[in-house]
Amino acid sequence: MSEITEPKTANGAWLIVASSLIGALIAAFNLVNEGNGIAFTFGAWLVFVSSLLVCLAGGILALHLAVPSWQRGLFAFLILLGILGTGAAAYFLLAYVLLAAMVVALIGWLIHVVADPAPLD
Amino acid sequence: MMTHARTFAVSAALALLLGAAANSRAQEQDGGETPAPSRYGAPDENTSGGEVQPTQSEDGGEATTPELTTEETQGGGSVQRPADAASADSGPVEPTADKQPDAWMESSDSWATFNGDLRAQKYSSADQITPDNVKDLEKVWEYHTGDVSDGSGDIPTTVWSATPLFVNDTLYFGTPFYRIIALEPDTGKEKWTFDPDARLEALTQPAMKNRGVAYWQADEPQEGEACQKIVYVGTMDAKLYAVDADSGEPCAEFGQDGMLDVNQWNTVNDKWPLSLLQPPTVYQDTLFLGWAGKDWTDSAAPPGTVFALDARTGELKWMFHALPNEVIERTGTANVWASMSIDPERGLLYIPISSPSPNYYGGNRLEELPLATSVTALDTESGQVVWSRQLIHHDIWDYDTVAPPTLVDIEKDGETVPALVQISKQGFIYVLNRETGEPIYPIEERPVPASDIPGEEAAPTQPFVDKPEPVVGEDWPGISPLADLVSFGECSRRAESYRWEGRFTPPSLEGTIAYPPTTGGSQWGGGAVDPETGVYVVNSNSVVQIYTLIPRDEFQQKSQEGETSGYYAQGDVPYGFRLQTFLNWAGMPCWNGPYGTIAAYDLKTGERLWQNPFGQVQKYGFYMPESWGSVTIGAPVVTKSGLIFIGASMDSRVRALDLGSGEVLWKALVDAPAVSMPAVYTYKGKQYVTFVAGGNTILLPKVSDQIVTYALPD
Repeated sequence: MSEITEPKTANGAWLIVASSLIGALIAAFNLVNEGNGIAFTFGAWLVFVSSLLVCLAGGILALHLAVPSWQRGLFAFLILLGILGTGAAAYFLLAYVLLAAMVVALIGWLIHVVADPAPLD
Repeated sequence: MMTHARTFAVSAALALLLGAAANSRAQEQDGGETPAPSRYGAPDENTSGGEVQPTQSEDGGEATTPELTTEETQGGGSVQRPADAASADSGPVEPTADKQPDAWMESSDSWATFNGDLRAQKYSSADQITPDNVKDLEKVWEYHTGDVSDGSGDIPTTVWSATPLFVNDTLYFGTPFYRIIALEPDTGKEKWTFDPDARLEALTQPAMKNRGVAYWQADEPQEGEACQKIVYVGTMDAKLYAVDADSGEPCAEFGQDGMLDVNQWNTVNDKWPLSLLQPPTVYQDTLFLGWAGKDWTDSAAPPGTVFALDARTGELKWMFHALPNEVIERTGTANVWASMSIDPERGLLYIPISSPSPNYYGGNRLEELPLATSVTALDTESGQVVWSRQLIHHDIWDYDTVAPPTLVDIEKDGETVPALVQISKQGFIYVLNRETGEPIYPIEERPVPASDIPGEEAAPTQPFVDKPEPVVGEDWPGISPLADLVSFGECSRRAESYRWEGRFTPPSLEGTIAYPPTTGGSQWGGGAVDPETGVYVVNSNSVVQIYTLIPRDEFQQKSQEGETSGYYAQGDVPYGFRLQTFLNWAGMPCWNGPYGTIAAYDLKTGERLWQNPFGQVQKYGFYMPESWGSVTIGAPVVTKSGLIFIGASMDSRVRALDLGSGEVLWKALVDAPAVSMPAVYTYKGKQYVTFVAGGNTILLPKVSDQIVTYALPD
């Protein structure tokens, strides 16, 4: 029988969702806004997709979906990679607003793993 | 990060092929045997008063080439002129003393020539935009010509390097489709356009290229009379068009109904047309015109020629040939494909002469060719050589002299010296007395490595310049640890297998590290100078390429590897040639950056004031660190207020830099790399800066047709 764990609250995860959603909107704007130097480039597509994926994974954690603890840990790890990768890509795209969104998402991730209550057994 | 690394790698790979682009599709071989060339420059069958066979015009009729006489001049060159023209004395020529600049060209408000003025100073005395307020610059208008191609259709890709001209209260542009466009300078509103319906084929270049137009006007223009002011544009297929500057209507008296077929004088090794991509230099009712071709494909090729033409009629005044008659069955080019400069007071035309063909093997041209790869001063009246200084002996590196010499008087040791500053692909900055050609800062002949190729005899010495400090270092930049790591040591292993014995290591069978290579160093844009302070600014590249000769029986003509490398037949000489940029499997540069810089020099002392990485590499949207710099194509402009305006970089930015420090004070995004120099001008009391953002596939596969103008808010 798999072990199901859920946190009591998910403030950090919700912050991840909110910031990455904003990030995805910013990335979408950058993607189509001709004349910004990165519109329709591979990099702009990349950060748009990665922001959405971070948002999706954050949503799974935030909605307390019943997933095994190892999967929850895996999601958290992948979210961290997504945030760092998107942030780095945003830095190299000179998309500093998106970078700021990823900084907020990183704060959310830290809250999730450090400050949010321990999951229920 | 791998993504970034690869991104940069591909980007840099694309960036590195500056000079290569002009030749990258030079593999379009004629296929047939090299025809026996006709001759010039010696008292033989067609020269010295003998008739030149008239060529066929397009309509089948005979062109109107008159009899030409030939006179020898210094350095093995010769000058041809119509037999009925006044003959100049041969032998040493004294510069004419009573010359004056054209008054209309000297207005401080205008930008009337390709380089801003005849002296190629690229200097504007406009001073409204300053280091303090440049951050407030804003876009006033932009205009799209519609003349752009990414190469996906029938028309080859476009490379647009046109300097905007501002004169006659109008902005004039040439386009890569060889149209002329006249705009209002403050609004960008179209005044008129002229379309010659030019042939849009890559006849000599891999792309449709244009560097703009030239302007002339009569000393005293007659009101209501057409063609008192003329705008000229050349085409890939050697047609020169002249139209009225106020209406855009062809000037009937020029050539045949406004068109002059310059190819009528392409009678020696005429394997391809003399492409007129660089607009003529205009001085006192005369157009001085060079041409571009492809010097990688053939050994015998059209020999370098500069034409002096009547500005009103297009009639030939004289033709200057840089190569002696004795060698033209085996070589060619040594042409002038970059812009020229003129000392208007002395009546001297300064021409940057390129290398002879083929570029990388000289066993077929072992004779001294003193005018090849030189900077040479011609008398504007006679075409005779006044002085010449060869910058590379027996050039086997494609170190064409590519940029117009900048003319400026400098204060040195308490005296005012008439100087000439010549930048170069090889990275040296030659500062000469422009009256005599003698060095102001020392030029020293030093031993250089010998060639190990049978039949080749590299020159035992080459001229070196230590001051001003070269734009690139003495040694090549060394292996990039990152590129070497990514390639599991590929870069190191390859470097050890190549020949490198310092500057001027000859091309070899095993491959020679060329640094700087044909991409430069500095390129055709040249530098800019503040004549008041003697501060000279130039952008440059730091690129490593590999030169490999391939024995003829092993040489296979392969397809090009992009625009930056490839195989070149070099005609019928014993060796073909392979040009490679030194990249690893991932496309990353194997050498350390920065890959492009901009520097300022004090010409009074020869000291370098500063040198900074310039621009950013961009690929797939990602920008690499500023400390890496960018390969650049284009040129700076300096203003009296202490600013440098320049595009040129891969990141499609135009920038304003502080002349004193090189700090970037303002930048703006444009639609493609602005691979030309901007025009800085004043109209109705307001200062404007206009950039052409056309792109160059050497830097990025990103082209545009954008003209954009900036000014301070009202």
